Amino acid sequence: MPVNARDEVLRRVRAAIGPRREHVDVPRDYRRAAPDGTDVVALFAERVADYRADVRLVGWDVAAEVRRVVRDLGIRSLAVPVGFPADYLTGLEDGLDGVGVELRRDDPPLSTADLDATDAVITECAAAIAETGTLVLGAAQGRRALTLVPDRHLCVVRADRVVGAVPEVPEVPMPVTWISGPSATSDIELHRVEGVHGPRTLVVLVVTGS
Amino acid sequence: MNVWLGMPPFPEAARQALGDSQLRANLRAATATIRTKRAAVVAERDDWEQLREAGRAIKDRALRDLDTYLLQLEAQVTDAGGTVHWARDADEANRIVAGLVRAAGATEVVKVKSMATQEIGLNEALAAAGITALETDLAELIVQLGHDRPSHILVPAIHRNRAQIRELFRREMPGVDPDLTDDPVALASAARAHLRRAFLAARVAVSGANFAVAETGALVVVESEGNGRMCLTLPEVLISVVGIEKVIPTTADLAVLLQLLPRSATGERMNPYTSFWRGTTPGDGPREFHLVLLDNGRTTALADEIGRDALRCIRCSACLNVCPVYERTGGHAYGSVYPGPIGAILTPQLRGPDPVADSLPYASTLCGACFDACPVKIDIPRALVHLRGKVAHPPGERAAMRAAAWVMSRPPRFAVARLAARLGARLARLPGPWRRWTEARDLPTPGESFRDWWDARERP
Repeated sequence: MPVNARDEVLRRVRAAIGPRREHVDVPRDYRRAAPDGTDVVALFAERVADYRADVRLVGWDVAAEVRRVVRDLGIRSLAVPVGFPADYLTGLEDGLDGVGVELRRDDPPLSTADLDATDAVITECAAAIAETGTLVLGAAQGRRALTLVPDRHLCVVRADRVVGAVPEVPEVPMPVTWISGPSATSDIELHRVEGVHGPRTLVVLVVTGS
Repeated sequence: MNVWLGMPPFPEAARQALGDSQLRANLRAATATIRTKRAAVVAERDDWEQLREAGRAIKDRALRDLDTYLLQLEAQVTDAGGTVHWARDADEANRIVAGLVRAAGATEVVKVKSMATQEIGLNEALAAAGITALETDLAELIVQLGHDRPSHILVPAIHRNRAQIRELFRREMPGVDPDLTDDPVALASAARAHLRRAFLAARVAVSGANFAVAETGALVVVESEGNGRMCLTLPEVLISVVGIEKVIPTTADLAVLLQLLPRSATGERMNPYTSFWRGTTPGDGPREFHLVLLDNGRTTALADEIGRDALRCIRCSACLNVCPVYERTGGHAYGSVYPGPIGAILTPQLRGPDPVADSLPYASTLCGACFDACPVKIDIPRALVHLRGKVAHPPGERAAMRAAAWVMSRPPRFAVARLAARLGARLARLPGPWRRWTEARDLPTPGESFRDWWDARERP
């Protein structure tokens, strides 16, 4: 007689399934990619804007647009994860374009209290999904708390990271967070309203490279 | 399973609920909203039926080799620094969680909304052990502050409207702005302020999981507000209580279910936040991770060839939102943490026989709207009829249901029965124990049956 819970649960599972196990085929004839000819970057921008994210298309000068966002939103302190490209932050600390912001690098790691007292965070993404307007952040984009505790999240999305559909998302080292718009809830009368515990403002900078 | 003490069986509870016109108005408005949204995002996918069929097959495959996938999951989670516990029933799971919280030296835990922990009555068990469980999902918070019960799988406070929520917050939330309006944005902000300190100070969190991927050991939590991320990320210790039926084989399978779930649940292309983690990660998130794998009646359901379909459920609650019975009675009448059509087939199987559970397979008109809405194609009407044949009820009804199941399971039998029914209908009154039914109703007597019309119709 099995005595521990693990053996007992497994014994029950095997008894329930029985001796005959018929093969179950999984039909994979659902769409595995966005339809041919889809402009995935344009679709991504449209879909993420549907969630009431602040979407900005950027040609090549990412740093100039970051400075504009910082000024528009009145951001005074900005958390920066390890490995974030320095050239996207050009001029932020030097007061260029009349912007004065304190960059708080997550090295050594910022405490949760520090993050709570930081206006915003800026990250890249490992991938972005056009059909669903989703940002995919993995271990390489920084600790998860960085994009959670500050009230504003700025995310730089390079066009070459945008895929069409969910099954096209590449393997990303865990922990992984998918973000589709700002924090929201549908708990009151099933109407979606933005802004609960996660960042209430999501700014997405889509870098088209033109 | 967590039994709501003092709940009457469904017919009686439903009669009480139907008398509450405010409840019916709230439910009608909310379910109409979500049905419209769901229809719009489902219509966007011309491959929706293929996705559903894949979703069904993925869950069936997982259940067919459940032992293999559970062992694979256990190995992966352990390899990634997590600890896996197994629980035969609710008591065992509650004891494990309480022990882990105590070992961490905590007296308070923050919780992510989880059906499994509601099912086992974890909050009550923790309270008995001197541990306070703080629900952090907005709707769960509304339920907890109101000393109320959840009435919907996804939106547990669906029975309350914005004005009622404002009154509750003003009464029960310490330090809330007395001029709080009933604007949902203002209500959400009040919840944010109320829970912020708890999130930043929490040392132990308890969650469930929507999916567990055997291939990688990834646990997946799907949410909207960010309270889930707070709980999964900030505390030192994370305990996830997960039903054994939540395991799926591969990451490719997850991609299918993550397309089906948000569209079916909140009518969104994707929910705001989805978290994926594997054991522990140095420098990011909890330093200790415990996975509690829960049976609590699931293997009993698995042993039933029809009833086991209910284990495919991904808790989207689309079946509640389309159900004419649920829309009128609300969730409380079902007397279970799993209300609505899925609850009517899940509760009797997980909980075992009692008057409330036995009444639930009858809480349906068998209209089939739930089956059409289900993203993993659970044939709920079929399971309801099947369970009606199993639960305790008067022998006459039981015999009738068995007879109906026997007749309808084979086309030739059904053909004979159709002929007999047409002849019998001329009697206009049913004999014996069925007489009472026809006393108040006319037995419908169509000129010809649908099948006869179908066979005889002109084909283009």
